[in-house]
Amino acid sequence: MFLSKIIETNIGDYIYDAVNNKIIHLPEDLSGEIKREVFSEKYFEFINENELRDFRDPIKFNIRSYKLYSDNEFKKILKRSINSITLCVTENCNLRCEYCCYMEKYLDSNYKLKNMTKEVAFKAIDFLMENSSDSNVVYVSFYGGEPFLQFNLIKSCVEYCKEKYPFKIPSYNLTTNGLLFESDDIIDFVIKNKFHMLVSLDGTKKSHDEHRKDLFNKPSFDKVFKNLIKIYKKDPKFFKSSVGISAVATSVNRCKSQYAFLDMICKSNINFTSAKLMGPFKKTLNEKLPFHTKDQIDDTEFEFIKEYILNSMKIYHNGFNNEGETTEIYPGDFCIPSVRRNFISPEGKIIICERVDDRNEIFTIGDIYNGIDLDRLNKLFDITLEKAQKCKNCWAARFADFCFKDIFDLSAEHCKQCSQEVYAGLKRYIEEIKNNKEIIIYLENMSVE
Amino acid sequence: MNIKIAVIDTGISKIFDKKVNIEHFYLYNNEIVSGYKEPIEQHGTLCLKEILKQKVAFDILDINIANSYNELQLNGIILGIKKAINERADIINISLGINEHSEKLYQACQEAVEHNIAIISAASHSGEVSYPADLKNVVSIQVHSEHNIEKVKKIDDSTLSVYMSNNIVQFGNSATALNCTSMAAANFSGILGKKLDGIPFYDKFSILKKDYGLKLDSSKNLVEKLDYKKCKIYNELENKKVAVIMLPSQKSQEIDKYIKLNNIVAFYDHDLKDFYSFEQPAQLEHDFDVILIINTKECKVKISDEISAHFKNRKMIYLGEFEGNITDETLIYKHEDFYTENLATLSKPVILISGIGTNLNKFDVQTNLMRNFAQNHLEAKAISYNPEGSLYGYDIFKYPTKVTFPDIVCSINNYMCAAEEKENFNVWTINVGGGCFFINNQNKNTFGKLITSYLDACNVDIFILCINNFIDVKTLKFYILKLKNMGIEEILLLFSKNSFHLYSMEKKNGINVYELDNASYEKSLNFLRENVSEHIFTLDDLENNNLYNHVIKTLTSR
Repeated sequence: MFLSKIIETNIGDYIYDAVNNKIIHLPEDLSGEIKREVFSEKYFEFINENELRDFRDPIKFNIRSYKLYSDNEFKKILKRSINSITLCVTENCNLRCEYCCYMEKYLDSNYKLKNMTKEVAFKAIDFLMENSSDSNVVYVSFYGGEPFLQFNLIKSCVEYCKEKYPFKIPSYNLTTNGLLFESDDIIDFVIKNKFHMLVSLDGTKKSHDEHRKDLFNKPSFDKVFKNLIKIYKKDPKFFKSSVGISAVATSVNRCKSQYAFLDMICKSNINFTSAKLMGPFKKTLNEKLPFHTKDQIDDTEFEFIKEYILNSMKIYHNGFNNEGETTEIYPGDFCIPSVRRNFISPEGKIIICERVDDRNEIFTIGDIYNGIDLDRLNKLFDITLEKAQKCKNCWAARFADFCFKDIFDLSAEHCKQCSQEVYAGLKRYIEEIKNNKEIIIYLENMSVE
Repeated sequence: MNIKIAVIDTGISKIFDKKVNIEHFYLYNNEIVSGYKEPIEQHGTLCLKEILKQKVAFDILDINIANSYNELQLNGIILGIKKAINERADIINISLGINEHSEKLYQACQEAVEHNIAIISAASHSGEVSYPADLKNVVSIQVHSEHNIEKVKKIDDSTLSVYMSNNIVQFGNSATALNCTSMAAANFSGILGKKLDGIPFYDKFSILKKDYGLKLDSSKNLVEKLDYKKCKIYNELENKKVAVIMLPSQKSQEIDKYIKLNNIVAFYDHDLKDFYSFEQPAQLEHDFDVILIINTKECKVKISDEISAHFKNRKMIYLGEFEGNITDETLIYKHEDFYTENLATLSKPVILISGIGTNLNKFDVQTNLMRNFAQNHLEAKAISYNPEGSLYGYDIFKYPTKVTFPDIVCSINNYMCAAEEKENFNVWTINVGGGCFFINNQNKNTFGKLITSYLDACNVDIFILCINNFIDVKTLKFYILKLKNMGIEEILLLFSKNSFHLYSMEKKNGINVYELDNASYEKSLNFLRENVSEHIFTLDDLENNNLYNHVIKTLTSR
C-alpha cells in the first residue's frame, strides 16, 4: 500500500489516499481484507467506483524546492518586505528553568554569556527600517535570556525608533519570565509604549514551580503571579490585549488544574507549547516521571485547548479543500525566511529564527552590517530540500509539521511521531466533521495565527 | 488579593467600616469625590449585606450616587461606572435602574466590559424596560422564589434569575423584601465575586458563559436616518492649506498631481524629513495650516507621541488605521450613516473595481480612470475605502468590520441614490476594498460579502477585476461565469505584477505580497491570454490609457 493509510475511526474505517488527497469510507469487510493484504474483486470494484489508483502500485512524492521565488524576486523581497527582527539583548537570565534551551550554556562554566550592545541594537533597527518599505507594520521583539535584565538597552531602542523613525514606530514584542515587573518603571514603560508581551507562566503554582526555579533553586510562581496582578490592576485593558501567557506543558506538569487555570485567564493569547527534550531536561524529566501520575484530561472541556484543536483541524480542512491530486509537494509548515523572523544574536548575526540551534552555522543567514546573504539562504533551501527527501515515501507527508528549526532532527523517531500525529489529526477531523455542518462552516471562516 | 466590588447605590452605612475594607465615594457637584456621605436610606447597605453573605473577604467601593433629595439620576450612574473603572473594580453592582435609554450609559458599560469588569444590575419588577439591566452588555438579574429549581437559572443570553427567600428585613425604621431584584442582583454579585476569589484577572465573561450560559453582546445596531452630506473631512480641509504625510513612505511619490485637491500644497519627504511643494523641482514648503497623515495600509501604524509637539500650531488629521485612537472616524462615512429600509433605482453608470485579494492595483485603476475622466471634462464620482482617496475628493467609507444583509445593501443603495439626487455627475467609479472572492479561507466571507452587497445595491455596467498569477485559470473562469450569471455583461481583467507569498495565505495578519520579475510576469500573462477570452490589461495598458479608452467605448456603445 503506497502513499495511503487506513484510518480507523469511531464511525468506521476510511482510506486516505495521499496522492489524490482524498478520504474515502471503506466498507467494513473490505477494510478487513485490505488489512490482511487480501485484494479480491471487492477491492478492484471499490477503486474503480471511486476512481482511485491501485494502492499496491509503487509511487512516491516528488519533493519540490522550498525556494518559491527567483533570485531577482528574492532580492526585492529582501530590500522591501522584511518586517521583523528579534533582538537577543542578553543570554543571561534570573531563572534556571529545567527545560530552557540555554540550559547547556548555563551549565557550561567556560561559556561566557553575552549581552547586546547599543551599537548592535541600533544597527539592527536600521537594517529593519531600511528594508521594510512594503511592510504594513514592522516588529521589533526583545528576547533573552531575560530581556528586562537589559532594560536600559530596551529603553534606548524605543527612544532611538521614536527619534529616527517617528512615522514608523514598530510594534514591540517581548518574551519575559515576569520576575522584573516588581519595578513600576518597567510596567509603566511597557504600558506607555504598548508592548505586546508573552509572560511565561505554566499554570497553577504546582505546575509552574515544578520546573521554573531561580538561581538558588527557589520556585518563582508567587512572584510572577503577584506581578501579573499588579499589571492587571494598573491597566486591565492592556493586560487583556497585550499580555499573553506562554505555558509549557511537560509530561510532568500537564494536569487538569493547569488547564483549568489557563482556560479562565482573561486573555486573548494563551500560547501553550510542549517542552523540547533538550539534553539536561531529558535527564531531569526521566528522574521525576516515576513519581507523577497523570490526570485523565478531556481536552474539549477547555476553550483554549479547543482553539488548538480547531486550528489543527483547519490545517486538514484546508489541505483537503485547496490541494488536488499531485505527487509534487513541499512537506512542512515554513515561514518566508528573512521576512517574518530575523533573530539578531548579541554580536549582530542574523539567524533565521529564535527557535533554531544558533550554534549551527547553516541557520545564520547574514549579519546586520551586510544584510541577508542570498547565497546562504539558497544553501539553507538546498539543505532543507535534501533533508525533506525522507518524506517522499511517507503517506503523512502532506501534513507533516516541521520547519527549518527541525531539519536536522528528522530522525526515524521524529518521523514516527509525526505520522502518529497526522493519523490522530485525520481521525479527529473525520469524526468531527461527519454530519456536522456547523463545524465545517466554522473551519471555513477561521484563520490561523 | 481581594476581589473588588463597586456598589453604585444610595450609599453604604459606615457601621460596616470595621468589618469590611470599604472605600467611600459620593456624588458632589456632578463629580464622584472621595469621602463618606451619610445615606438617607438603607438600600445600598442592604445590598452590601447580600454581597457579604458569601463569607469571602471583598474590597468594597461604596459609590453613593443619590443627590440631596435622595434621587438617582442617569448622570450619577454613568459617573459611578467611570469611577469604578478608574478604581479597578472587578464587579459593579447596580441594584437600581432608570427607564430612559442613553447612548452614554451604554458606552460607559462597554468601557467597563473592555476593562474585564462585569456589571450586575437589577431588572425591573414591573416588566418595564430598565437600564442598565436591559443593555445587552450588562447581566440583568431577575428573581424567583421556587425552592425546587436551581439557585441561579438562565433566562436569556444576558439575564439570570436568582432564588431569594420571601423574608422581609428590618433595617432602622424601614422594611425591605428580600425577594426583590435589587437584593438578588447584590446576592449574585457576591456569588460571582466568590468564584473569582484571589484571581482578579480571570475572564469574567468566560465564567459567565461557562457557568451560566450567558453571551453578553457588546455590539449594537445603529440605525440613523438618511442624510446625504459631503464627507466631513472635506469640511475640515476647506479653505485651508494642507500638507500630507503618506504612509508607507513611498506613497508620497505616487500622488497624482493632476487630480489632487487644489488646497493640498505640500507633501512630507521621509528621506529629507521635511515638507516640499509639488512643483518641479520641489521646493521647501512650510506655508500650510493642516497636516493630513494618511495610512493607506490596513494594519494599524504607530506614530511617535512626540509628533504632535513637533508640528505644534498646526492641526493634525489622521486618516486610516493608527494605534491609539487618534483617527477621527467621524470624518469619513460609515455605511450605517445611510441606513434606511428602502431600495431605489439608480440611473448613473457604474464601474466597479475589485480584486481577488489585496495589493492588486485597484486604487491605481480608479485613480487612472478618474484622471482621464477629469482630463476629458467628464464628472465622475468615486467611492473608496482607501483614505488616500481624500487627496482627490473621493467619498471615503470606513471598511465595515461586519457585513449584515440586507442592511448593508440598503445603506449602499440609499447613499448612492442620495448622491445622484444631490450632485451632478456622469459616472460612478467604485473601488471595493478587500477582495472579490476568496483566495484563501481567511477572507472567504467578509470580503466577498461586500462585493455581493454592491452587486445587489446597484447595476454594475463594467466590472474591472484585478488579478495576479496566484489565481488558477479554472477558478478564474468559474468566478467570471458567476459574475456573468449575476447580470454583469462587461468584465475586464487587470493583471497585476504583485503576487502573494504562499506561506502567508492562511495567516490572520494578512497576505504578504511580492513583485514578480519580468520573466515570470510575461510567462503568466501569456498563459492567461491563451486560456481566458476576457480582455486582459497590464499596468502598461493602464498608463497608456488603453483601459480607459475601452471603458469609454463600452459605455458609449450602450
